[in-house]
Amino acid sequence: MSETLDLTAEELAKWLVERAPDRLWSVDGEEQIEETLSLPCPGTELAAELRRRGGRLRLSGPAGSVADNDRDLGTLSPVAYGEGDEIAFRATWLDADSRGREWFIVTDVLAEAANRSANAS
Amino acid sequence: MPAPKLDFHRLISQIPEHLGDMPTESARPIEHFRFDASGYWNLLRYFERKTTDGYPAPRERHVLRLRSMVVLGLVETFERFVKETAAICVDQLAGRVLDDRFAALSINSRSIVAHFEERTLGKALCEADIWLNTGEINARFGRLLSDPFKSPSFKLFPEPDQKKDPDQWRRVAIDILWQLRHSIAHNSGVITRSDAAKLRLLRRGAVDGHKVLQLTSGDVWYVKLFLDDLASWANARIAARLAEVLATIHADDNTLFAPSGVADSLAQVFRETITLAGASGTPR
Repeated sequence: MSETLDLTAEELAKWLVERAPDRLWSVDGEEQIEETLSLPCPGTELAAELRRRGGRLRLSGPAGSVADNDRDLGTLSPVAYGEGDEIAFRATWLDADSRGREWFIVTDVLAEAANRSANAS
Repeated sequence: MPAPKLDFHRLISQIPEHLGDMPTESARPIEHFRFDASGYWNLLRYFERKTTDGYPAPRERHVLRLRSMVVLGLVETFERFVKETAAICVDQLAGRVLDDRFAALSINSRSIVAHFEERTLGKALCEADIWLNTGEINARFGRLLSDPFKSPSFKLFPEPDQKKDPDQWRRVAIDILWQLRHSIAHNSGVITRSDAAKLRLLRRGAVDGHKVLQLTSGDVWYVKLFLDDLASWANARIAARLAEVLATIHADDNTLFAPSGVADSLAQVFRETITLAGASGTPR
């Protein structure tokens, strides 16, 4: 039985800004966000789009917390996936018009590594 | 064991029946671009992240091939953005101008017949053409977005001899990408000696011929970032110029259309704030 956490888009946006504003976030499977933003994007940009949309979400995670000891994900720890530096959430909108379709929010470690490499060269 | 006898004629002929509905964002080229560019990048990210437990040597071969395919997809997604944007220009101008600007597009009876059922004139005129050459793109947009009965003045990209243009780097970068796309699409990623000579001139640096492209994930990411930036830049320029041309047309005959309605329509399709003959439109 996986953990679930219901929250507002505003609460997730606040979490992104406070906990991971500089990480690059990809969205996979949520068409309206994918067509509006150039993804992956910083947490601050994804937060702004979530605030613009509003609504409520359900995040579903694996049974028990997978957050490692080095990473304090706060209230979202029980529903976070990810290995190493990656953080991933399985999300569904709870609003009537888009309820039930699953999509993913995930830090893009590949793009982050490429950015580090570009800045180092 | 002998290969099974299959009815290839039937099996291949039925492939075009395997179709899905167009996504809703396809009416807005910049959003169509973002959606598919993000999808191509996610494909690579997913493969690279989810196959780390596989066999290293085959994985490396597969990921090299996938990176080339993703670059090809990204460049062709940009090409589609350019032609969809041109189609919008045609639709906005058709019926409002009497000059020969649409001669910039290769209209022939075969393409008209093939696109007879298209919903818009713009798509019928623009979709059959190839938009993979900066000079041709400049010529088409220059003509499409000229003032009525005037010679073209608008240049989407700087010309090669405009070295001091602050956007010259965009021209050079997209020209290099068109050439790399050619190598991937037509020579399976082989940089022929002729490709190498062209690339050498474009980047002003040596390129070895008779070699195979071996893209890094960083290379693909930089292509994605560059095309994201280029599409937004081009979208804003074309939207602003189209609004200017429509304002000129309106100044000549203010019974043709109501500026507020057209400004709003352009704002929704370009996702940009538009000012047209004193009216403004904002994306909703």
